Amino acid sequence: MKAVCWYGKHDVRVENVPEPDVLNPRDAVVRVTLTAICGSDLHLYDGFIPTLKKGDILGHEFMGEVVGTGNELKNIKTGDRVVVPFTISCGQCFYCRRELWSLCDNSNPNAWMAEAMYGFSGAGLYGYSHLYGGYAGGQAQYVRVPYADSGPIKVPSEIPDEKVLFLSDIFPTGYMAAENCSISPGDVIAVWGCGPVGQFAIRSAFLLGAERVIAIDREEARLDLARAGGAETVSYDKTDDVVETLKLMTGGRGPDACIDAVGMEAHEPGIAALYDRTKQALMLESDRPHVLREAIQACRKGGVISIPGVYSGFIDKVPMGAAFAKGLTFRMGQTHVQKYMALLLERISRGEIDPSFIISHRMRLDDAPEAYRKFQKKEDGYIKIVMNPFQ
Amino acid sequence: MAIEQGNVIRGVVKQLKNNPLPAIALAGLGIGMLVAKGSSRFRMRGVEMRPLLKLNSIKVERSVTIDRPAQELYSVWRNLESLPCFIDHLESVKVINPARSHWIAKGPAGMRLEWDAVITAEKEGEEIAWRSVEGSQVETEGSVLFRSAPGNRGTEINVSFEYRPPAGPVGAAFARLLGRSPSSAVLEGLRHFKQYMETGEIPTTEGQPKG
Repeated sequence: MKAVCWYGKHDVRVENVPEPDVLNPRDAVVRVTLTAICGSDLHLYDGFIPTLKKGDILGHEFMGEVVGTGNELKNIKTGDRVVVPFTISCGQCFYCRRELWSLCDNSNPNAWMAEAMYGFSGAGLYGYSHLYGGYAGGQAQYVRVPYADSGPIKVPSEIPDEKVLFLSDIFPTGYMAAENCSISPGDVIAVWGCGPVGQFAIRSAFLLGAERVIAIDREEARLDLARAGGAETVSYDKTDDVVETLKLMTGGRGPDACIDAVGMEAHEPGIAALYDRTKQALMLESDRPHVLREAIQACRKGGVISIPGVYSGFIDKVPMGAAFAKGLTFRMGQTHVQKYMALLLERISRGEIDPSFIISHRMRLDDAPEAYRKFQKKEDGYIKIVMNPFQ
Repeated sequence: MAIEQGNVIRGVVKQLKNNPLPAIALAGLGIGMLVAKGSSRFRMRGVEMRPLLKLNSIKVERSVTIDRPAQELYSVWRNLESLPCFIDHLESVKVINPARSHWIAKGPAGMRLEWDAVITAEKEGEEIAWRSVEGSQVETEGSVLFRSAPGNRGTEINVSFEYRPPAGPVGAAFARLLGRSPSSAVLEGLRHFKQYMETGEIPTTEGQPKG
C-alpha cells in the first residue's frame, strides 16, 4: 500500500509498504477514504519532536471503512464507516473512565520512554514518534486501529467525509481549548494562531457563548478566515504591541481567557527571538514560548490560559511572576478526543457548523511531499490539506 | 476477565524474535529473582564468559496501581504458571506443589536459567512472598503486596525483592543486562501485568508496516 513516511527534517516520501494486520484482539484495520495533514505534523517535519525513526508512517487525522477486526471486537464490524480519534485509548483505565482519554495508562507500548522524559506516559498517538508509542499513522491507504471498540465513531452515510473527518483531531482540539476557557456570558476570548485549531477554537468559543473573540496572527488569509468565523482580528504586521492592543480593545481589562493555538514553534520578533533561537540551537531550550509569554501578560486578572498548541520540552523566561500575581489558571494537554466526538457529530448533524470550511487544498497522497513543503511555508494560502489515498 | 493467553504469548515471542535485547532488558520480576550461585560451573549454550566481580546486594522496589480488585489480581498472580504471559523473559513456570515451583528464564544468546522457588508467606488477596531454595542455581527473595487503593482507584501493588549479583558467567550476563536498571525492568513487568489485567491485551506495534 501507499504511505507517507518520515525520513528526516523536511524529508517525507510516499513509499510502498506492506498492508497492516490485526495484531491484538481489539484491533481493527481501516481502509482510509480521507486523511489530512495537521499543523502538529509540521513539528515532526521540522524535526522538533524527538524519537522518530526513518520510515515511520505519519498522520493522525483519518477516517474510512473497517475492513478487518480482531476476535474480541463486539461493537465494530467490517463495513462500518468510522472516524478515528488521534488519541489511542484503552477505555478501561482510571483516566479513560474519567474521560481523560489522552492520558490513557495502557496504550503506549513505549511508556518507559515518555516516563524518562515526562515522569509519566500519556496515550499512544498515531504517527507521532516513538515517544508516543510508535504507532503507524493514517496518511496511508490502510491503518491498524488498536482498541477499536473504544475510540472510532460510526458516522451516518448521508454526511460526506469532508464534514466529519475533522472529528479526528482539530475540531475537538479547538472545542476543548474553548471549553477549557470556562466561558461565561460577556466573555472576550483571545486566540493566538489562526491555523486550523485556532479557527475551530474561534467558532467553538462562539458555540459556547463567548461575547467576542479576538484572533491574532500575521497571515492575512488566515485572519480573513477568522473574520469569516465572526472574530475581530489583530495582525502582528500592524501592531507593535499585541498586549496593549488587546487592552485597548477590551476596556483595559484584557481578554477573559487566552488560547495559545500556536505552541512550541512560535514566530517572534526582536531580542526575545534571538534569545530563544540561540538557546534552541544550543539545545538549551527546545520550544519557543513567545505566544505563551504574550498571553500571560495580556490575560485579565483571574483569567484562564488555555493551551492546545503543542509543547514538547523545555521553555524559558516564562513570566511566572505575572501568572502568579494575576491568579491565572492554566489548562492544557493533548485533546480527550473521544469525549467530544459524539457531541460534535451532533452539532454537525444539526447544521450548527460545517467543518469543511477549513479545507484549502484537496490532493492525492502522492502529492504529500509537496503538500508538506507548501504547508510549512504557508505558501499559496495553504491552511488545511486533505488527501484521498486511493486517488 | 477473558485472558487471551495465546495472543499475549504470541506477542511476547514475536517481540523476542524481532528485538531480543529490549525484551530481555525489560525483563520483569523473574530476572530479579535470578542469582547464579557461587562460582561453580554454569551450564551455558554457546557462550564463553569471563567470571565476574562480586557486587553488593541489590534491592528493588516498585509500585503500580491497577484498576481491578485486589482479589482478582492476587488470583492471577498466584496462578504462577500464567506469569510468563506478561513477564517477557520467563519461558515457563511449573507448579510442583502448592508451595514449590520450578522456573525457567530465557537469557541472551539462547541461555537459560532454572531454579526452584518456595512460597514463604501468603495471605489470600493480600500478599505472596518467595525465596529460592537452598542449592538452586539462582538465589533471591522477595514479596508482592496487594492493597486496595483509596476512592475506588483499584489496587496498589508493591513488589520488593533483594538479590546479590552472582559470581558466575551466566549470572554475569544477566546482571549486565539488568544491572543498568533492574528497577525499570521490574516496572515493565508490572506495566504488562496492568495492561493485561485492565484491557485483556498488551499493546504492541511489532509487525506493523513502515517505510
